[in-house]
Amino acid sequence: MNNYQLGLIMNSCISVIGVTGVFIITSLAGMFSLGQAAYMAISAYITFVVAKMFGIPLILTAILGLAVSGLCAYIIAVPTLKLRKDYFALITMGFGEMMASIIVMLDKYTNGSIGFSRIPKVKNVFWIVVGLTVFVLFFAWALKRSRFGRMCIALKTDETAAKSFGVDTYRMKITVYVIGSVICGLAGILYGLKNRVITPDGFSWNLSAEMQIFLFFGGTNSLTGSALSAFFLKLIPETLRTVRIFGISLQEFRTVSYGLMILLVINFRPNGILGTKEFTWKGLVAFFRRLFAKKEAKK
Amino acid sequence: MTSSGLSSHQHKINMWLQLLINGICLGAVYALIAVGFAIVFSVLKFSNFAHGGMISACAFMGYFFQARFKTAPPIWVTIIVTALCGVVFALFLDMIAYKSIRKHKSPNIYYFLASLTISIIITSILNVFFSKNPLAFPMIFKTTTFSVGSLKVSKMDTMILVISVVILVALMFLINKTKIGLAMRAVAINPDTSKLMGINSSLILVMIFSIAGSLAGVSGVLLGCKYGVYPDLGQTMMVKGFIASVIGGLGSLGGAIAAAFLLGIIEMFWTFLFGSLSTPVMTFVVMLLFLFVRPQGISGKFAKEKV
Amino acid sequence: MSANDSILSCNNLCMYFGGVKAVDAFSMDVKEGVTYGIIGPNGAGKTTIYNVFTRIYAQTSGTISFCGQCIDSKDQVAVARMGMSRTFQNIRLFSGLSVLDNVKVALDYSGKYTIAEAILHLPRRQKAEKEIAQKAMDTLKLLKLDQYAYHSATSLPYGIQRRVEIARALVSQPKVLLLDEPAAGLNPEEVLQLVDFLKEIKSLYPKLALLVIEHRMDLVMNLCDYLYVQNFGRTIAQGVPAEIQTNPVVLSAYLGEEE
Repeated sequence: MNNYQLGLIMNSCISVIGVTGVFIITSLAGMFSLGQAAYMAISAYITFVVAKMFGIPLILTAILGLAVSGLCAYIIAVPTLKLRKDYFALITMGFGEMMASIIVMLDKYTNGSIGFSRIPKVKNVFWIVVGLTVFVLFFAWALKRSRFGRMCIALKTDETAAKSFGVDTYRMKITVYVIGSVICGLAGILYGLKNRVITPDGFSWNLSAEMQIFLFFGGTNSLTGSALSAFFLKLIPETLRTVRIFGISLQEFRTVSYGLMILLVINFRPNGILGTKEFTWKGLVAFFRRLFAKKEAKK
Repeated sequence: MTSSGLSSHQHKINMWLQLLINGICLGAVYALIAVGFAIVFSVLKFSNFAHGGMISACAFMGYFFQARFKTAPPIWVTIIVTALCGVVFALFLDMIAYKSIRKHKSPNIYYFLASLTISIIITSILNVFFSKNPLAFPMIFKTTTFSVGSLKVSKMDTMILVISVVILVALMFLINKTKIGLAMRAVAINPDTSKLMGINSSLILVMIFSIAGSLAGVSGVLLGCKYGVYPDLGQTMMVKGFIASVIGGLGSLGGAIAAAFLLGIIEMFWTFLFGSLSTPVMTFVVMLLFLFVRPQGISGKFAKEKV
Repeated sequence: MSANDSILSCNNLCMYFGGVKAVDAFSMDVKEGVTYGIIGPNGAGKTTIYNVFTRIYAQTSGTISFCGQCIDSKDQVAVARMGMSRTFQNIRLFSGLSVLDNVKVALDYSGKYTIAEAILHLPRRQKAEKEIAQKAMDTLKLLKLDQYAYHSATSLPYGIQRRVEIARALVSQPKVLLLDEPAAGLNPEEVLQLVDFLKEIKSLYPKLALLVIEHRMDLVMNLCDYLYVQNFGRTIAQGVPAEIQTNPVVLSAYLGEEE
């Protein structure tokens, strides 16, 4: 594979990590966050700017970046999650807008809206990205199948009922929000490592929304579904870059087509493509068996 | 000596007054946005993220409507036509996005998603075609300001303020004093019971979306006149509307209006004192502090989830 | 009987919503192993009593004590963890989870592993998960629901869902179980099965104090040891079923005044 193709796969992997963070927040705990790109920005900027300023190894500043993301998530969550859900979406969205302007405000360090590009080249970025993607997916899978995952799904479907079985919904939601935001932060750092330039526009509201769309497209409660859709919906438009309609590259219609797909999904398959089902080998084998069984029967 | 001291004092007062007036005008715009958002929330109980996209779309509609004529029609014609377009547009969106959610009785999170998607679709379509060069409405006034005493007031701002206030007053009258308004409030409190009481709740929904659409139309044109017409116009302004309605207490129209004016004035003063770059940070922090201190919002009507 | 062996008691409990007195000066004393019925027509404030007990609402006045502690300032989660369990009038199973997982949720707050161990899938997690699964399965078996363990909870017939809800409420070995109209929405045959089911629970959990809200006299008479009759938020009568059955005040409230 050449560098371009490796780059595409890395982009898709980063998208998978980001969407996994959103999955934990939205699909497990039912919180609709519209500011996840802000955590990507926080972690990425802290990692690379601090590393440049003080000459600290990236690995340390990356940990600092993730920690700050978690802290910000905690600060947002504490007052907001006491209120009804609608506040949460609005406030996280406001947070995203605020973050973008803070980055521009601190242009002395961040180089403002032009973007920060003094990011060192790291060896084996590809394997770092792929490896972390696998890890993050594993974490999310383990979380979903643990008692915490169950409690989250319970509080998502019926908060009052969950509370009456001793689930501390408020604390649970804060924890989950912090975890999800840290994972998004990780995606941000990898984004920076891969592209070697970060701009406030790159982490805009559109990215937060795009991640939500990927998530729902794959399935409202399916980790594998959302991961697959995050991977391929990121990949496919890139490969269609050269196809043109009315002299406009198809890639520019990317977001529009995502949106239209979501509308179709909402109207015709209200639980997303995979719904709550997980995509497993067992299921795949069973599916093909049934398929062949049908063909046999026809013969 | 005294005269010069007095005049500098006078000058200061004038400046504050000037800022206050500008702030009120800004608040009026925010109020229009916040109300369009809050009215959908109060009845359907979801945050209509599509409102920002609608504002952008309406701004473009208004622009292209008036550009069709050799000499631009009076602004009120543009506003009325755009408001009507907004109504049609809002009903269309309801049909393609929200109707099936209502039919399936899907959880609230689908409304979030649907409205978000709509907003993204609109903004990105506009971005594909019009991102290159921002458009501007033709000048309405020959001179930009008029003077009251020593104050200079922008004619555009005054027009926006007057139009906004007229619309807001009319809307509040419709909701608080008429039978239709009563029906709307009833559906907002309990759709099922209101249905049993003989209120045609689907008609009310049509009304709500029409009002929201026409408000988007009006604010689209007004914002377009003030800031120019570009794809992210509505999105940028919508955040301010959201913040206003959160501070006002979600779903309360009165609270949203009060908060919007407050926000406009605070923002004007803050920008004057500390520059415009930090304003988004300030508004966000104000909102967060407000939620800490008074989560029920200005209106005091705390939108609680049903047990 | 002394006051000491009562698990849950409330004194002069009032809950007003604006001008509506949903619960007015309600007093109750719950002892272990006894089944209580709270009966009364719709709107008598029965569910509100439960909602105050379980701290979904904070009462307007009056005091509640549970396990010898005053719980007036405790929240829903704390009271649930002390051993107060309930079902809901309109079945509220968690739709995204299987029957087994629904039951597990009631055990999950006390699970013996941290979130870090969960994410890293460490051995301690496996062990604790096994324990939880075992406990949940045992309860399902005890209540003869194990054949539904891997079904999606909300796709089962209504009668089974009721039982699953009761199983979920029982798995954490609560001291008090509050049942909110367990027979609502069931057909006559299912109601009979439910009565047998509840009687079985009484024999399986002899120390459990059971509270049942119901407006069907036959079910309560059959099942309960002591009854409170509510009307418009007030207790109009209390006593053993045989007394209540012939109480003229109750009869007039239920059947209307005789002409």
